[in-house]
Amino acid sequence: MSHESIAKLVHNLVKNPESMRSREHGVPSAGLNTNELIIIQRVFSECEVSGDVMTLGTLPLGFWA
Amino acid sequence: MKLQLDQIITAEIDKILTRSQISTEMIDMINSSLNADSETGELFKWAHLTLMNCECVSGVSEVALPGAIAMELSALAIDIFDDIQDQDNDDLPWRQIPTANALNLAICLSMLSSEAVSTLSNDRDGRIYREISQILSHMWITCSDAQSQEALFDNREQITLDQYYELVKRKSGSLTACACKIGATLGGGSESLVLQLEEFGTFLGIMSQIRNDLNDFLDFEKKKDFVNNKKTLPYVYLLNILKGNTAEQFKKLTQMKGNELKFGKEEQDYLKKLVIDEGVVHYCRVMYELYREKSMKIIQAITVPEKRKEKMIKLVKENV
Repeated sequence: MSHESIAKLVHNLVKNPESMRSREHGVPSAGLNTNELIIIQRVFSECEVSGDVMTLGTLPLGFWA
Repeated sequence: MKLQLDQIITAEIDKILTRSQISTEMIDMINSSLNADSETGELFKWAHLTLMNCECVSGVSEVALPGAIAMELSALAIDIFDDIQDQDNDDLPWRQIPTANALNLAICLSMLSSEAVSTLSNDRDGRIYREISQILSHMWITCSDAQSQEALFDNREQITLDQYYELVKRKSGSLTACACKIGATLGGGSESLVLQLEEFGTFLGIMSQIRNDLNDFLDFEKKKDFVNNKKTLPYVYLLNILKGNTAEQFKKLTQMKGNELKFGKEEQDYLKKLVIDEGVVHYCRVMYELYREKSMKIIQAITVPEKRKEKMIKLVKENV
């Protein structure tokens, strides 16, 4: 897992949401595997559905509070 | 079942405290500190994580009770040392007593943890006792070294994301890994199964730290992470991702260490804006999900009956 590549991609997608569309069509990203890309896309979809990033800014406490 | 286990854990801790002949004042401090930081009302989370791993491996949990109690006492001691180092969580019992008392409380708890393990010394050849003692001392060494490293990081201007994850693995991951490893060992797990559950624990600890880092980042009243230059994940992400003028503005904010007056509403609002505009929430959630998936993969891969995996799967899933 490349922490730096993931951070760069996430930042890029936040700044240019449209670029998510091209990734959905299979454009590969340097240093990232398919699974990592799927998770990134899922998180961005959740944020889009929520419409409020800050509500997603609190992760659930669960058992490990 | 959990309530019954909580009662057993409480009774066993009472026995250790009585046997150790410590003062009523120390006993009161220990009793008021146990579970004091539980935000969900769940009791003895470290003991339960240990017991859960034992049950996953062997089908029964009680055999891990001495290790579970040792884990609970050690984790509390480490929490106290951590809060003294960070000078935060002022509302917790150990932060409301003089620091000298809090330090002695933490030292006493760490030794009581060893006392709890010593009840295992009656096993046939003392092998289990030695193994658990070693797992516990290894965790203390790793964790205290990481705590010290973290304090050094606070004074450094640049930290990479890789350095952050390595530190978190050693600081938070070593604690959860220790609980899982103790449980799996006392459950009689094979060497490879113990290692798999240890890795599972490491990932669980990293998830927990990511969540705490994100949840606390904008909690300016309770936590002093940002003004103290604590290298939390949102901080390290912004430090590494921002460029140009925004990076300069962020750097200015980070240079207000120890001067809370300067870090007023305007600065707090600007930091909140950075969190939203620069993808801090997205990034932390992505990393949380990636480690959650790694944890889940381990549980799915271990060779124990599916029924015994259920609690572990729930543990990972409930953090969705």
